[in-house]
Amino acid sequence: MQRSFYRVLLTSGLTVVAALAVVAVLGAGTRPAAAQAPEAGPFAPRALYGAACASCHGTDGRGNPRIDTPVLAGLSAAYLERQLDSFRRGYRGRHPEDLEGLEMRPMVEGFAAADLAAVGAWLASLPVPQPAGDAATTGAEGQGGDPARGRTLYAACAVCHGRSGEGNDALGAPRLAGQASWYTLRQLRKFMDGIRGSHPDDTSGASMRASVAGLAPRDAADIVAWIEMLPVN
Amino acid sequence: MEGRISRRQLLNAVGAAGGSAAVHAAATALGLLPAAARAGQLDLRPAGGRARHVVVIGAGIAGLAAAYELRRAGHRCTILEASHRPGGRSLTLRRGDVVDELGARQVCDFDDQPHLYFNAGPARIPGSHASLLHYCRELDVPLEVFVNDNRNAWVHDDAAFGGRPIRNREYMTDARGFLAELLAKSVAPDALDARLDADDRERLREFLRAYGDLDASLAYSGSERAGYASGGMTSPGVKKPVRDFSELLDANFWREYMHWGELADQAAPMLQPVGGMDRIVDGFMRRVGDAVELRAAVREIRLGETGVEVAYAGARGEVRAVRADYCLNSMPAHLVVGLRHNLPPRYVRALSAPGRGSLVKLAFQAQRRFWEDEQIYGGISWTNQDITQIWYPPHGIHSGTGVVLGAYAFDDEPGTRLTRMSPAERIEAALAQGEKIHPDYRRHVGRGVSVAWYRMNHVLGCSTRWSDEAMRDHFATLQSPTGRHYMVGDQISHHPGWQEGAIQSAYHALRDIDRREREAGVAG
Repeated sequence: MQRSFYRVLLTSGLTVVAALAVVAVLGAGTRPAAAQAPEAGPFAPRALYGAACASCHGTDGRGNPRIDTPVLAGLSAAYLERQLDSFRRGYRGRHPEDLEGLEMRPMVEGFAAADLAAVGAWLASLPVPQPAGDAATTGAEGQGGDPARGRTLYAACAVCHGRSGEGNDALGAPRLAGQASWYTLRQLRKFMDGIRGSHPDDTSGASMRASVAGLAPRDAADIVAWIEMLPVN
Repeated sequence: MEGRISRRQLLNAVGAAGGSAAVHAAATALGLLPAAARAGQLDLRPAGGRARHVVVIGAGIAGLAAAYELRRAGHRCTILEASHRPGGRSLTLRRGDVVDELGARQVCDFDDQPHLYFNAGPARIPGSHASLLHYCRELDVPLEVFVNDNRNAWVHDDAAFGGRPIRNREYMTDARGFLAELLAKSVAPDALDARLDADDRERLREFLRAYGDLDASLAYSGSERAGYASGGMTSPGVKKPVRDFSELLDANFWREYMHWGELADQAAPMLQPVGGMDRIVDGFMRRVGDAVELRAAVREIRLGETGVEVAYAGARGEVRAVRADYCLNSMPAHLVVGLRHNLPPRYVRALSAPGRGSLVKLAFQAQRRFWEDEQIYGGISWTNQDITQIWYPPHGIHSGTGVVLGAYAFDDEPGTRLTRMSPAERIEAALAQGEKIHPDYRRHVGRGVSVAWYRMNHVLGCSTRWSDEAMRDHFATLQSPTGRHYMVGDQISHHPGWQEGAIQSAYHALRDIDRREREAGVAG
């Protein structure tokens, strides 16, 4: 149902846009980065993202802490596809205490797997957003962890997620560098508390959950404080 | 009075010196005439040779009013609206209308009749909201009286009166009677402030007798104000037995809702547009609709030295850009944070400061106007349950069917609980809670439709929650422009959730643009 709804939104929008086209006259050197040529095909992933995802996840997957949405741009296609599929199949966003996951799950339930994969691949092709001057609002402040201690603890995480937090598709580990700190910490706590990774079908989530079972809350804050310092490259 | 000049004498003297315009100005200053010919109007200076292009983000009430005024002054506007419809949260649902809730789309399936509509956003207008009422006049939007406070409606609380509803008037009368008796019997020289002399004390007793409908011995023994238990027409009226005051206190009603009708914005009489609140949106669209682009979702805002550039996605994901001299932005502040932008950090921190309210409204079509059988014509019943309120339509009286508002959870706790439900679960919750007030509710109502504003596409929250701290630290930042970019909307007002707040925020920005243009015109 959702899929057809968004497609209806897209198709019925065409005539409106054509009729009301606004001519853009841009000053030299100040062209907004988002102003690019339209993509080919009526249902390009970018359009699906715009219709179904952008309200919450922000422009081109940059995330929005005010809506509790993570950075999506630059995550690997395989990871994004697997997470979207796990929401779609209902083994992520099912736990009653996973409040954000519960909001996310109905967004993708009606999508075809191929569409989700295409959106994931498009997001993966985007550059990881640099933490901009608005770091105060991306959650990079105020988590209160000790990065020096976190660096030591992170050694265990680096086995899968990479020394620089670059991620490793072969091991199913997502990129961590560049992710909003508040999100990383919240997900880490969800794994520790069994709110994420406890569904029997969520095999990669289960291995993550097992990996963090021995962590104390303070450890999580320290690890995230270290991850926050990893450069985005 | 000897030696003092009367106001009449003063006006005559002013008129002799400066003509009638001076009299008018002087009389206004003396408070004898309203400040404008009609309250609530904005008078922008005509653009003349300095016509400007303004990009307005959001075709809600703030954006539409701003565009209307800018055009009237001779400026050019482009209005970008992310949704498939104009109006923003001024949303009236009728048969076939889509509720664009994220992940839970609904379609309203009321019967197709003029009185069967649901104002899912703003739904009532106080007489003091002069600018909004000015537009109703200007845009030929007929108004009718809206019934808000109704003493015949019900007060329900699971913790009081055995969980059965009692009439609002009974609660109010007994509570005031008890209070009046308590105070009247304690009016004694040593019990009250010594400044009250014997005469004052006697008058205070009389005041309290009148206030609480006490008998001559200053006792409250029930009142006809509560409505008779029986009789009162062809046989003598029999008063209702007095409720136990501690039981009145068991109901949460006294904490806030008992005093609802005392609020300046909620007191009778109130108004509503005939046929739905979005008649005001329709009126604006008739004037500025050709400048509105729907399904135009802003993706980027870039401040420049001499203007603002806004990139937006059309329905196919194609990105266009518009460059303007000014930008009036009514997007919810919490969504601006998710855009690509070059806004200064302090401004972004301010955009992040206010909270997202989780207001929920839900309505049913009733196949029988059962509330009229209960002597209720319009108004609100109150309950301590999550639905909080049931509204009865003041229009379409005796017409058979009607749309009854089955829930209006405006506090965040009940709002969040209802928001987290599926639309079907919300309907069931509203039925189960409503039938505690109207036992046959389920038999009479159906076709429920709910609007959980926290989950509505392109909105994601209503109303704006300004904590005292956020207000103190960040409101002024957002009320001021950054470069040529202005935040507007009810969110940038001390009246979030009200259309008047939206309009006044737009006026605040437009007056500043007017000033800048005037200064630039003088300089140039």
